[in-house]
Amino acid sequence: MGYLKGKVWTFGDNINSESILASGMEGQMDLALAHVLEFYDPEFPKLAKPGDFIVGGRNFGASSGRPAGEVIREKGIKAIICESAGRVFFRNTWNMALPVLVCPGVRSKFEKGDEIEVDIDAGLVRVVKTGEVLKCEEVPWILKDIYKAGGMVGWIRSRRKEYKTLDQSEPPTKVLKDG
Amino acid sequence: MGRTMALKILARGAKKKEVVPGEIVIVDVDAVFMHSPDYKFKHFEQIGGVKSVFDGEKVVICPDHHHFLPASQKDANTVKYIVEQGERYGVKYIYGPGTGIGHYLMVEQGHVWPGAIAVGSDSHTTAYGCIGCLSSPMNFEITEVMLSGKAWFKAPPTILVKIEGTTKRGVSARDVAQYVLGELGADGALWSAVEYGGSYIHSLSVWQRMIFSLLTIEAGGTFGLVEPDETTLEFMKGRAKKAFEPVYNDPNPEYSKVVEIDVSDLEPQVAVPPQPSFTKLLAEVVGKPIQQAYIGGCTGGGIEDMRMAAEVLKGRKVNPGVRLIVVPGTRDMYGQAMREGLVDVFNQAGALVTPAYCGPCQQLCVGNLADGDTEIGTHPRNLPGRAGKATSIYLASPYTVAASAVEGKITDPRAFLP
Repeated sequence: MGYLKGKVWTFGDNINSESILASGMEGQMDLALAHVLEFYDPEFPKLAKPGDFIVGGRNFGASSGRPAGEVIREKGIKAIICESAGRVFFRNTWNMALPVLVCPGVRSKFEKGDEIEVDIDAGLVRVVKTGEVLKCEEVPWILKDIYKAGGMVGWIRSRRKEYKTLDQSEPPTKVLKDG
Repeated sequence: MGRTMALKILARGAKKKEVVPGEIVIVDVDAVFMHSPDYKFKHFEQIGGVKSVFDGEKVVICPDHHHFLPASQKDANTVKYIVEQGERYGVKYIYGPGTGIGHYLMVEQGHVWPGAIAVGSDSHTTAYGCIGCLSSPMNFEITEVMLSGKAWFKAPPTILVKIEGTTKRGVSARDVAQYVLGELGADGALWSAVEYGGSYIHSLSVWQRMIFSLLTIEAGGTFGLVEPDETTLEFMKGRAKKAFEPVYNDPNPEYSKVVEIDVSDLEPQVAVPPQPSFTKLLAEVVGKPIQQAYIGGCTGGGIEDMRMAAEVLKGRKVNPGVRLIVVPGTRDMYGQAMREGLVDVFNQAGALVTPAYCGPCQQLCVGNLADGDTEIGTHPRNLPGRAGKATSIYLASPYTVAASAVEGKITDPRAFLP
């Protein structure tokens, strides 16, 4: 896929999933999109554009397991690059086909509005203003596999014959983008 | 160096001789807990052709967050859908309204045991480590686990938190757990297991140990374990749904870090907004006015938590400016509280006692805060977004919460105790 280029939204440490997607907004995507991440940056839900990236600090997506990554993906964010990520958020979000790349040292390289280039497959981040290239940590192979299948639902469908509980005779009716 | 119990349980679950930290392992799970599986069932529809979950005996549903009774027709429809779909896919254990908080029920009703591997859709599923069960949250991916009965983990290093000493009067397990969380920090245990050991931990009941295991997620941890001991095995008698073989550490296990704590002089602690790991001395926030107090949640709904609250509330009245809500952890705990006269103490003090469920921890049913309100509670989490944006939530022990409810402001409980 090579490098994708976009603008950066920066966030601090311990951005938690509950303050990304508040209680009572789960399952209401329009409402969630209108408020996503506003607790940390009120401009984000108003001004973030499809193709933008997030650069976060330590423990991005901390704490709860609620599906906050889905809202960020629906906002059109192409990837989250951070110093470290909350474990459940990290797993959830790859399963939703939104990459979360852990890239030690990345946060201090960017300011809000800077340009970034990201090669998701290779795990490389280029700081456009300086030309510096940073290497991200290796992503568990299962998550890469799921991402390539377009997310968890597509991945399960692609390997459905392995499940005894699935009806083997029924062909997939349509290819789903993601879960 | 010996192997930690976390690595040994993972190796057993993966049918491997050994696993090392950092390795990706796929294990068979013994239990799957789900609190709001509505969208997981929608995944089943998207996948198509799903006949049943992998093993109906191993899947447990408890819609504890939203619904001791549905607060709206939307919630009522959600509960109806969850129950219908659970039955459709062969889930055997679906806990109804008022049965309790899923995490307590999983342990109380024997769905997990020492050495078992469990995953849950709720992020506090590190809880069952209190009996030496390897348990961890997995939210979105639960759909996959429900179908395959398998889950993958990155085998973690283990941090040992060794706690010695005896606490002073009025300092409870929550104070100690809150102190430990503050020491670890919000990402101090990221991608790690935490084992709680030492004479203090092993002096506690299973339910008080659960506070430590459960709060491990607030430090980012994958598992929060207590090695099984006599207390564990006594507790498990006649409880587990399956015969089991506990797993213990090897002699001299290899820890990535050891944190040693002596609680002999520990003072009451509190978590201040906006993060559970923001631990302070209670003394630093004493005097802050409150509008709501909550005794319950998966770190404060146990029978001992209610006993502590009742000790403070007996013969006293809740401040008229405060709503005190008491929510037992399970129906059995509720029954025990009634038999011991605790419910009468709460009622006479002017507290509201509701059936067992998650309570106002995540304000989806009753006990919502108004903008500008301050609450103190025994529940696990105080993040913005749980109860609106313009509220402040403090987390503390049942003693402290009860004393604060009486005074109408955050209060050191020790003057209230004999």
